[in-house]
Amino acid sequence: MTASRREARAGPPSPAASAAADGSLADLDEAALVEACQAGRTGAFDVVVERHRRAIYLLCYRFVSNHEDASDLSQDVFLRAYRGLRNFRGQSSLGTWLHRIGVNVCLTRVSTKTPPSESIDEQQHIDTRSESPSELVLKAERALRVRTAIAQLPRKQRATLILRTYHEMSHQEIADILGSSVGAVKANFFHALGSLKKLLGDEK
Amino acid sequence: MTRHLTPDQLIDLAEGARPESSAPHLESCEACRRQLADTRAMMSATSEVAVPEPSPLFWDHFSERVRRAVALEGAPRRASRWEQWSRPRVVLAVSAAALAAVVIAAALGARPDVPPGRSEVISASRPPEPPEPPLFEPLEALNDSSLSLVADLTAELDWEAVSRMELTTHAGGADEAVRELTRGELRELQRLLKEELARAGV
Repeated sequence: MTASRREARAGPPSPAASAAADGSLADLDEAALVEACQAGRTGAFDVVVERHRRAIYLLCYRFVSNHEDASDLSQDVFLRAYRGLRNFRGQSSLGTWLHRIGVNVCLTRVSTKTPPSESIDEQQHIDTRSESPSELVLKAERALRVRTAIAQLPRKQRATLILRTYHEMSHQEIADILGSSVGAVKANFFHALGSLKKLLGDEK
Repeated sequence: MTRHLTPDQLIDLAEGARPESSAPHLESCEACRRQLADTRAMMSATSEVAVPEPSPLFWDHFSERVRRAVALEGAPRRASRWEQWSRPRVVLAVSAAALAAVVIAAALGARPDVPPGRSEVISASRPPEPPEPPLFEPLEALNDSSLSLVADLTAELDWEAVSRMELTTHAGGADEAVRELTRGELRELQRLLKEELARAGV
């Protein structure tokens, strides 16, 4: 598993957020938590946000490539989830459902032509302690080129590549999120990688 | 020569979901080998692109933003009775029932069973017969909230109003056919409609 694929999994909750959430709520399993939300129990939705905020933020960041927009989009995702929770029946996991909302929000908001807007200098929080300055510059440039190329992919290819490569989702989960078949997901992934090769090759 | 590998097969091979030995075609096909290598190279290139991690303080700030936005929305709740009623499936069923009720009511109103004048002749020659039971039970008697709603919705409507609202069908349509039914046939239609409404759970 690569570092980028691991990153999408939920990180540790912050102490402040944990304190804000009701202790008994934080221990609930997913179904019970959803039920608590639907019953309007105070703090229940905070726990949902706490558990999934990192994965959703990273998903949004992959689409927009800058912190401000990723933050706004993530908030929008959770607000939509809050509105839609009363109709959530648990046909998929809460995480898959939130990713589905996230993909829809991002694809709706983001044009396929949107270029990545975070500069190399702004990427100060990536752990780079083991690399030399020249390696860092090269890596950052390469990353920018890849993100620019991903931003030019057709919407479904882009979503498929992001979910598969950076969110460790199975082909079936991606098919559920995008409303397509496993075969279509694999084909989209294959063509996305092929398009990336052309786009990155053209820049040389 | 065997056929080239499909995108599906190439992805499975590139991801290691199946071994290369399961695709003997690879040994003899340079194009497929190249495609597989390219696919793996791109998977590797994309997976190395990390996302900058936000400041640890960001998460609390973010949760607070969501909390404030959610507070403006009000508490989540289960759908109210009215919202359950206004779901498309229910609206469709109720509308169909309302239309059927209007058509039947209009059919009864528009087609008297006995021609005018004839009753006077009969009444002069023999004692009046006991009144026939009403064709339809009063809707209240059914103790069915859906039919009560239909009754409320259609109480003020007459056939002309319904026509103006274009709730009727085209010439020769079902509403015209209903108007031609006998009382016995209308009773049977009523029974069938009640059965369908009960089955739909409306």
